Amino acid sequence: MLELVRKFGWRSISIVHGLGGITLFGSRLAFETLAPPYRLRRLIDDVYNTGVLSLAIVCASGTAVGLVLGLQGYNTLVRFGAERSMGAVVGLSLVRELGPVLTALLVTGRAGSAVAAEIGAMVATEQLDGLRMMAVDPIDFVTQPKAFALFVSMPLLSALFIVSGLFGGYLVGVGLLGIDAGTYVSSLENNIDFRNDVLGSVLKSVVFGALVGLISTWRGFTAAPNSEGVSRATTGAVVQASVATLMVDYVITALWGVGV
Amino acid sequence: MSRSPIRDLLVGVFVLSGLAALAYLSIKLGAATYSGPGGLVLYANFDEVGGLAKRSPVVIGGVRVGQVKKIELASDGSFRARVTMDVDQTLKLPDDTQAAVLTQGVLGNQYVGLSPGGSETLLKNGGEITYTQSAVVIERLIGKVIQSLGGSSSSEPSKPPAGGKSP
Amino acid sequence: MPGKMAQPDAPRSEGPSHGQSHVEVVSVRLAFGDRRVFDGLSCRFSHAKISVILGASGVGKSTLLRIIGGLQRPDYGDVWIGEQEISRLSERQMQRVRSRLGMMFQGGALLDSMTVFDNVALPLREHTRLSKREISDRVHAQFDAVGLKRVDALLPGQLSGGMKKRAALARAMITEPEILLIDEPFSGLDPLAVRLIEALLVEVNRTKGLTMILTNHHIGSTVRMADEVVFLIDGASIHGSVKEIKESIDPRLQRFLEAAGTGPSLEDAS
Repeated sequence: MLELVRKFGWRSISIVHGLGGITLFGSRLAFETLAPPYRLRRLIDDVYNTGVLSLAIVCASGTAVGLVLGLQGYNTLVRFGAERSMGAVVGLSLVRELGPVLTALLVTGRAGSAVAAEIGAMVATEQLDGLRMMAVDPIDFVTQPKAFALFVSMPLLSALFIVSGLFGGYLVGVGLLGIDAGTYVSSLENNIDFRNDVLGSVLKSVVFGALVGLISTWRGFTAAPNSEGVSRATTGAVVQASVATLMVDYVITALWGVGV
Repeated sequence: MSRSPIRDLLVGVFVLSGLAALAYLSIKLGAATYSGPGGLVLYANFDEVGGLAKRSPVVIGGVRVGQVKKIELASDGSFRARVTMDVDQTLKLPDDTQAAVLTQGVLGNQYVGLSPGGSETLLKNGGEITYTQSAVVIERLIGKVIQSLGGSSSSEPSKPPAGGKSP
Repeated sequence: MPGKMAQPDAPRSEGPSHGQSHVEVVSVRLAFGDRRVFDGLSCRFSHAKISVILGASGVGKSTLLRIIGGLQRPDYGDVWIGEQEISRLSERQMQRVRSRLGMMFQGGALLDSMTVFDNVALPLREHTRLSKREISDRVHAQFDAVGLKRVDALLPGQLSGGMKKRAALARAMITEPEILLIDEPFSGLDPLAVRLIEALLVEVNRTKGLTMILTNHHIGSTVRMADEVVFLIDGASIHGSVKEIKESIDPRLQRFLEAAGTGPSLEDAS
């Protein structure tokens, strides 16, 4: 019994310790982002790796989700004779929730894991130590561009996901189910509001970008310097970033309000 | 340090398309263009606004010309709804223009439809639209139909009064 | 609190005076969890000499090197580089000390996302304002010095083990440090490559007068190269010249030498 309490206490302390660590790390990242030198070259490379290479999966998934939303939405709406609202249903679901959240999860899986693995491998092969010995700060040189690239790519990818989804909905609704194109588009346009919907969506994707950027790089950076450590860092990054995204999603949704 | 220029190009394309998508969402969908200040503020009192809400469109002949800015209880004690509208300031609306709360389709969203009159005097900024037609509330309509079907011939299903007077 | 300088606890070759020792480790203690690595370790490394940290695998050779490089902080004790004590410096202050050090890591530790040229040029690009031309000249001069040809556009992953070591050496030396720390320079190399790297390191030492501290667990190359040997065992060290080490009566050292001498590797025969 005492053993349980002891274990619980130890776990709690190490969680707090970890939170402190990640907070300090996060503030270092923020500082390095704002302070020169601005490593534009590396940033562009990292945006390529996180953003451009995620384009295919984001657009494909977005279209697929749009297709499904269209079908499912139609099935439900048709019972109330409200098919004309399909544009709104697809659009609002995508913009408010599915766009930012699904994009974050996809990007975590594709780019977040890659970033964690890459940084973890650099720890294991002493590349980061090598940088330190050359009086170059590894956080400034390696970690910050990757975290910032994730942060910047996320809202862009989220927007592209949403647009792909709207297109998917259009394909199903207009192409397959015979809804009038004008109805679909006007239902979309008339029911999505900038302040309530789009702005909240962008805010979410920006916050998720920061979360994924922070967690992936943190896990990579603190990986144990061996192959098991790298593997644990990678899976840990994906799991933690995903869970954090979903939890923060609730918080933002609740705070941002659902009203008109 | 020289990476392939194709990579740079792709990054540029990515960023541009992402921004374009964001712009599309914000402007076309979010109707953010409509927050180009309309400039012409008009007021109208209604008995019933139904599902009309802030940012509902204000429409003339099917074309959107503005939006609803505020809906509140009128301060003159009449318990009517006072609607503040912000419309395109280049419009020249006569002061006998009528405002009606209409519905898109049967079950759609509500909006304010303006029907310009023929008067020579124009509405100015802050002007008041006196001729208003309240929203149709389905339940009342159904109630009246039931009444008229079951009741005496003297009571017609009356339309909600135009002119903003209490029923 | 800064400790006083202690006397090394082992036979010395020619009694280097304080002024001649470039790097000194004093009474250092370090433990990882329950595992004690160093327990009151003291040793010194002389100016412009090749010193080899010798010992069995896992005894702490690389850790000692990392302590000297400031990558690992001891739990107790002092680490002196010249007149400066470094084990209590902040990371930022340590960066300034590092301009005097160069380190060659076991796997080379080159950044595998950058070309060899960019890797070796990195310290110059980060810390100096030299023109592209000058940087290019210096990098190529280093390539010549370490015997690398036509590697500019290659990625580290495309290099052989020996070439990686050379590139790492080039990178470590491009900032013209006073002290070179080299972790297992011969690991993973075939006997011929070992001889080549050995010759290269010796030449660098002779021509530039750098203080070099290597970790090694091969007897053969140690015997051929070292001016001084620091043998790590049981958390402390035995220090001396190659001759003294070979003639030492310490039973642990004798056991190590014997085991190494009967090893299968060709180069262990001295």
